[in-house]
Amino acid sequence: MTLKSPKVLHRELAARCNEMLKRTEWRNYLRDALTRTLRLRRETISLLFTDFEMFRDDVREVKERAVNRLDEMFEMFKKNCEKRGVRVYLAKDAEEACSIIYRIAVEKNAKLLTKSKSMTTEEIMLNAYLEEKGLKIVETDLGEFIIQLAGEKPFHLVYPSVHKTRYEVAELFSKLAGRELSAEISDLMQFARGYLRELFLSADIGVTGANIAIAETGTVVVETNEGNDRLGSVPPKTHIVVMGMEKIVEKVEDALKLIVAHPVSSTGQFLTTYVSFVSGRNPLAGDALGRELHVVVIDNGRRAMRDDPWFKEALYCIRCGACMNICPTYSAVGGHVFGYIYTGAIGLPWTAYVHGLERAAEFAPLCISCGLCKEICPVKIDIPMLIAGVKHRYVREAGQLMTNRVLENYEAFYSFASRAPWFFNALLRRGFVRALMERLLGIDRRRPIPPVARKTFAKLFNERKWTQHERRAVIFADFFIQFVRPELGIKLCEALNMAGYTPVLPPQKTSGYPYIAYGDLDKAAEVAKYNVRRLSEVLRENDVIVSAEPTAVYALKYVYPRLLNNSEDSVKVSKASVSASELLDLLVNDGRLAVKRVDGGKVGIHIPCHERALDESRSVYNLLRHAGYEAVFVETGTCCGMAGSFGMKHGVLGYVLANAVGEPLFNLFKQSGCGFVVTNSSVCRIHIEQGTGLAVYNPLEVLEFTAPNTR
Amino acid sequence: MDDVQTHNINLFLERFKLVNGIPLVAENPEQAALHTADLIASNGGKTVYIASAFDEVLQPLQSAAEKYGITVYRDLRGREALEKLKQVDASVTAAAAAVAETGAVVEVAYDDAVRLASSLPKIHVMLVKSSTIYRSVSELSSLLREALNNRTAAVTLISGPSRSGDIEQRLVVGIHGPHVVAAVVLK
Repeated sequence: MTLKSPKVLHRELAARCNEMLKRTEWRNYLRDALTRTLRLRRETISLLFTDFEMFRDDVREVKERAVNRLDEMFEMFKKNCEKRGVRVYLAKDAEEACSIIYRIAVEKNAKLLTKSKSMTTEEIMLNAYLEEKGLKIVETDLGEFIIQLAGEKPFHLVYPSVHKTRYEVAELFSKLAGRELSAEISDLMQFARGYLRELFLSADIGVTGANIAIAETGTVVVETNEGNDRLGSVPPKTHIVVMGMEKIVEKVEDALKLIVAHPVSSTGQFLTTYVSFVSGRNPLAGDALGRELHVVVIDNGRRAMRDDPWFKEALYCIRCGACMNICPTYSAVGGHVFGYIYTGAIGLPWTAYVHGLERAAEFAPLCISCGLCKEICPVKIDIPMLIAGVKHRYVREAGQLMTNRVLENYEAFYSFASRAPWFFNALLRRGFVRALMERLLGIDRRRPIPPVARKTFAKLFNERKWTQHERRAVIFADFFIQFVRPELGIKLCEALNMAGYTPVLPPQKTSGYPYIAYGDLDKAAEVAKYNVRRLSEVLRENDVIVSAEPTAVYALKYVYPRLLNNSEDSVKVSKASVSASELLDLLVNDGRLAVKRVDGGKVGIHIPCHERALDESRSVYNLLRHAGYEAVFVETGTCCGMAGSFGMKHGVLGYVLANAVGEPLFNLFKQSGCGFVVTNSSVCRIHIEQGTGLAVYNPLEVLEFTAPNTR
Repeated sequence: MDDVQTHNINLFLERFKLVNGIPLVAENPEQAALHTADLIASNGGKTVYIASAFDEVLQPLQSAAEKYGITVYRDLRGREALEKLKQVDASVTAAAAAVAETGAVVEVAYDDAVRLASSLPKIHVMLVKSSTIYRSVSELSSLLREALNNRTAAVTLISGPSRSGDIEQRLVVGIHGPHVVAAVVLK
């Protein structure tokens, strides 16, 4: 399959999204369902862990260690399985895996196979292969059973049929039963129980997946809530396990960590209802004759992924689906649009490797680079950067969408416009100019464009004389402070100067994050290299690098080191970087600065996505409360939808989708009784202001900083 | 019994309930047997398959079942065992351990009839010795290693009844496995 051009791909994806966005009720239902799992996850974490971050590090270490020794793990697992009489196969690709399973079925003269939920068998399209050969294979997980009857692909890694209402399920089951069934969920479950029970007990072979395998003991671990893996695998003489190579971990202790990480992140359960550690094939009521266990281990691109330094960590995925539950666009358009067989955020790198870049490219633009998948991942996989890698490979082969190129170059536009701000601002106010921009550049005319400031921050900064101190704060201005609201940057510098820091402003570019969002990683690396060089040149011991923009701090702390292979300077810059509100909060707490409010009323705080990786806006809350405001967080737990420049784009894959995602948050703000909104993000503010009709401010606009003794 | 063990028992009872299981406490084997028979009878059970039970509970269990009019099956082999397991209303198994934090019971099976006993009937009662209740999942490693030392073994952590949220994410218990799952903690 050849790669489609960006224009064709954009048009097709927009059409598919447009169809889904028409279903408002369905969207609300899906979002509620996914939000419920996020809430349960939070509750369970608070009941089980004192330090969940440490647990995430432990889980990552388990997977990292195993993936680093992937071939060795397989050999150890195979040897220990064979000691127990288990047959182990290694299939290089989907075709070979399917043919191994078919050969076993022929050898056993099997006609009927049952299958317990396994994404790996979906990956290799086992059902279609066996059905074509005349075998009957029945899904026994309720969700997969529904999907099989509907002839669809799974919608979600963990909840394959989450998009189906009970009425749709009743229709499918009635057809199978040959009679009208009620849409009561308990009745539908009873029907499925009865229908599948017969098949469990008469099947020739039971096929299951495996969530984990343990190399040192030759054990497979299978988790199900329904118990269908047990009913499917115990009665038949032959049990076939199908699993990816990356499922093998070294030790029993490793597996015990994963069986907790998986349900907590996925459904918010303490443990999956049935967690079975299967070693060898037990006799059944004293009868061991002919009882066999076969384990088909699949490569299908995994070793290639392991050998690719950029994508290797995708193999750490434990398939919990949490990245789908939190993804803002996934919950708006669903897994049939946002996925091929593997869906959602982690589905992108996986699809690129096991099903091809052309498949992944078809839904890659739905990642709006909010970064929340990384924050929720129990293995701390840097999913946003993996996705940027997928986009990069596509862009390198097929080219970039023109609108993306325009948005990537916003800095050049503002830099140019700042030479004659009055002229450009007047132009941007003209309807026909915006109509032309929409038509030619793809910038939605309904979205306000921030006016250009009369003087840039750099100019204002250099006009000032700053009191010199031993400690220094290196300012990283980024777009908003540099070109739109430079006076807020000056206010920040004044506060820091008052608290004993000399502000320093080296030459710099804006963070370059749009390059990452749109997959231009070479350009992103160039910007990162430039900024890191400029910042590290002036950085002395005990200096801090301060920025008021969450995305800029996120880029300095987490993205630049990755782009620059953790170079010494990038790590130095990362360690020194701090958000303006975090530093100001620290100074107020230390008594080096006093803060007071400039207005009254109840304030609603919006947490920008990239600030979730920093301090989740806790410093903004502290500062507002310290100043005497009544402040509350107003949030849905996910992105507002703006996602940097994404919400500026014209059409479904931009303005429309951004609003569909933002809708629940807008409603929460409207119902909150807050007089105004405060957020650190300069782009979220545009979106929220437009969506809620409320005034939205940067914290620096509503706070006054003074020396402590003048309070 | 020390404070830590008492805490673990209480935590297990609380968490097992949270996963929709029915926790029961017995001061002695006779009480464990009565709790078991009472639970089976009150859920409409008339037949029970005892797949495994602690020695001290076995005789009282026979007597209690008789008192409640429940027919007991045990020590069956081969086809006969499988056929009976398909028909009975309830099953009893002896647990190897339990985990307090997660409300899970640990079943160690060297014969898959035990796994079917905890999968097929609508009512499943697990007997748990209070001394085998661990605080967390990570403490199970020695037990697991010992069980997996056998040439064949299946160790299952069971947290309440079989459940599914696949239709509209509404939780319904008892999809393929038992509807009623009880843990009788024997002090």
